[in-house]
Amino acid sequence: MFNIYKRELKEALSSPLFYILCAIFIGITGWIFYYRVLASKEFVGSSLTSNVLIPLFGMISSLFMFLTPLLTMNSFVEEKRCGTLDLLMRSKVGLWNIIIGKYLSHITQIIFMLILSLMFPMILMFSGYSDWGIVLSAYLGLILNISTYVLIGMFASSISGNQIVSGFISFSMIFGVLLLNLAANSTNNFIVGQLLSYLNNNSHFVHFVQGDLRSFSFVYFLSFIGLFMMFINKSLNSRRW
Amino acid sequence: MEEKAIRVENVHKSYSSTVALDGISFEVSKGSIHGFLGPNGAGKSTTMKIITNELTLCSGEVFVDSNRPIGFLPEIPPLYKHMVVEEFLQFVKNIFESQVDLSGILEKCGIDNVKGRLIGNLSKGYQQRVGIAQALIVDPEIIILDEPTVGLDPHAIKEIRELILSLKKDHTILFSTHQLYEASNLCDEVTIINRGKILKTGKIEDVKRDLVTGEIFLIELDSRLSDEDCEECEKEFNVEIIRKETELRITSKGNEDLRGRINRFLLDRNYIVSSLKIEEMDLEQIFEQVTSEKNV
Repeated sequence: MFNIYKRELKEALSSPLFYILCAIFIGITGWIFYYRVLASKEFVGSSLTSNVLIPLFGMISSLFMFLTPLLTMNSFVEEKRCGTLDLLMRSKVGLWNIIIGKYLSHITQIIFMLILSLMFPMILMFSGYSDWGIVLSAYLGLILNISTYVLIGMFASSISGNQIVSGFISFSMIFGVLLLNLAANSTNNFIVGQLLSYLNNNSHFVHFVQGDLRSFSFVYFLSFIGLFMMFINKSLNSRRW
Repeated sequence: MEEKAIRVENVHKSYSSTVALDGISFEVSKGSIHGFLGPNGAGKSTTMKIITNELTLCSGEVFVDSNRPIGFLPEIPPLYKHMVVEEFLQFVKNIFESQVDLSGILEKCGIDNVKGRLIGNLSKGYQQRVGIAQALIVDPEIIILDEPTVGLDPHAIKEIRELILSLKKDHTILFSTHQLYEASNLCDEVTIINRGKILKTGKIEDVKRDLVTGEIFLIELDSRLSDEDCEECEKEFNVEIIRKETELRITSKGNEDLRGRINRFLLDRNYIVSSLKIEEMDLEQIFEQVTSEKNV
């Protein structure tokens, strides 16, 4: 697994796509941060957390809805095209290790990008901001939330033969999960509403941003990760049929 | 009895409605070079993928007599174009947990001088060599090569062919090709497949012997053979003669060696025979004969 992880990460870090995405990410979040800091002067009696950081983290999560499909669309497509996926599948690594190695490589790239955004809470720290618990909880939420996007992207890449199609499928699926929230809000049935809301990743992410860690959110994210890894495993195994 | 490295027994494979392999059976002897011949879409690659466990079979059995991994070079060599040759081979070595010496493989495949270059920047011939190196780096006993010389220039083809021959010492090799003279030069055994069915399999001499009835003589005379003499010769020896200027192509119908008698016949009629030779039926003709419509 470590061999796969190392190779994937090295290839990703040597490609210009990653740095372009980093630049786009930090440009947009920087602008949002600046805008929120300026706007926060107008609010009286509310904290930097609710005025600046919560909207900023929400924005980062939304931004990754678009960035993750771009990062993951090539995950299996290129390997299938070059025949290297079959080489990996014939090796002694095992399918699960291939999937986990690739997943961890994507998550490491995401963490690199998120580390760049750490400068915003640090800027606030110089103005006296000290609520680091919320910042840590929000970053944990971001990593778990973006993990779901990564796995959706990897799954889309495993079922398609073209990276554009793969990117499109993963974005559609991420958007589909987001729509569950709308469906949850518009239903009159309380239980169905709760169920749909539970299935939507954003409703869990919101708790993390507020520093409110709930066990069922961890269960949700871990189940999501496990389920999609199994889907990817089945999809790759079907190549042998 | 010869030991077998690979035994394929009654293997069926179909993709939805298409039958790719229709009950194929053949054997590959240990230490041999086995040629796998067939037109495009015959089922060669599918068979190779089944042997290497890349594809599952619908029914039948495949026995591989080796505890070591199979070295496989598919039609498109599995290469990471953004990796350096040496780094790529080290990666393959690690994922197959092989203990083989990397520098030995680099030298054997003639890629020692390009080991520090990006694979994507190499010529097709060198990429093919790296492909063969990735098959060798897994420390295999059996090597399977799917059309290893396709798309290469004549010089590269010659080098790859020499490389394959040099591998014979320590490995059993199964390789598919379109270039039949290549198979007849390299192989000890041959299997001919068409439309998912095995048409002929066995030692190259046995396959030839099964198919060739009679012999073909090529004779060159000092003058053109007259019509009467031609007719007489055909009747006397029960042969078929095709005349082309002063050259004769005589096809006998039995297995009797008629060279001496025909030579005397021509000398008796005052023709001088400047050359006389037997034409060997090459694999090209065998392939044409067994894959032609009436034989399928």
